[in-house]
Amino acid sequence: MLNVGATANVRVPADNSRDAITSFQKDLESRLAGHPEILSLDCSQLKRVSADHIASLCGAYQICEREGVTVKLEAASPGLSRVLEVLELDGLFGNNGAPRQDDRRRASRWAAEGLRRMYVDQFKGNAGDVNRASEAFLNYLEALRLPDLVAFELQTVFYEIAMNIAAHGQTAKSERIVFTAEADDAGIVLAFTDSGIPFDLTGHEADFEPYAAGRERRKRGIGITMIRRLTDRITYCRKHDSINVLTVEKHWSK
Amino acid sequence: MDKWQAKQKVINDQTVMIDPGKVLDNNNAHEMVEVISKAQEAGYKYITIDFGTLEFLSSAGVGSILGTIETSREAGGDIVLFNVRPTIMHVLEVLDLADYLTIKADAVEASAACEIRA
Repeated sequence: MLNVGATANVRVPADNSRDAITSFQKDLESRLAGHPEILSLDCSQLKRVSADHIASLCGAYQICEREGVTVKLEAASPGLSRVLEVLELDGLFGNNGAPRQDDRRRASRWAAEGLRRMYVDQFKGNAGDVNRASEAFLNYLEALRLPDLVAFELQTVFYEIAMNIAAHGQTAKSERIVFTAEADDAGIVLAFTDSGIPFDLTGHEADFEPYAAGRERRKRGIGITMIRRLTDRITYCRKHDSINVLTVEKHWSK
Repeated sequence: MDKWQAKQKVINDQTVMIDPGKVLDNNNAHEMVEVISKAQEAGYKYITIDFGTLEFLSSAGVGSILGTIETSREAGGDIVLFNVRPTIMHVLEVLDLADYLTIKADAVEASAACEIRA
């Protein structure tokens, strides 16, 4: 927490307890009282990013914006940078000019609703980590108070996509897949981001036919069929020729 | 993590019952195929699978049954599922497998299905 010239520095805590967040906010206000031009948020402690961290960062951004102070992130891990990019929040803290109106709106949503509607996790492409992430995601779905069947469908979709990336993505062992979920009154959007080989799920037809599959003792293609039939929309894009972003939407009305 | 092990119970000289436990997914689907295949090789025409405690079924779990069921049917038998929870049944229905697979309400009905056809 050093003031260097016109820059103030505040460390973002990894701990998401109420005490830690309160302490972070007090540090922030204390530094802003010195009227710095730039506030640098030290993210070196954020090894595994959660929705709570994103909500804290967005809350900090809002306070700084009110005070007319530019916010920058320092020592952001690749995982955090990836999460912010996936959530289209990177414009708030980047060096690419002033944040756009949409960026501000998203920040406001995260700051207000982060704990209830938004979800972020990162996991490695191995069965143990996927299982842990799957259980954690189910807890989030239960907190949304969804019908059991819908929560089960979403957990199934999560598991099938995560295992698909783990099995076929050829991601490095140390690489973490970034997963985000955003729920609103209309439905939920799940996004998976990884740096493995390009794999466009949207190009696969849901042509599973049980009698043929049984006759041929076929075990492949079932997962993709499940994903397609349990969701309403799937999109895929390859960013920067190195990052896969797979997004699936499920509408509550279905 | 403990190694997964399916519970097995011989019902009669043609039928064996398998209980996969709470989860049938990528972690244990391969072992499930082995358990079913060994029962088939041992001459059991009918394999009943108790899904009563099954809480999660992944595509690999579905594949473990799809990959072995025709072997039983070609031998004049079948793989019969029973005690299937609504959520698991939903997955099977989404895949249009509800008609293809033999699914019974409980162990009594499953056993009866095997005996009638034996």
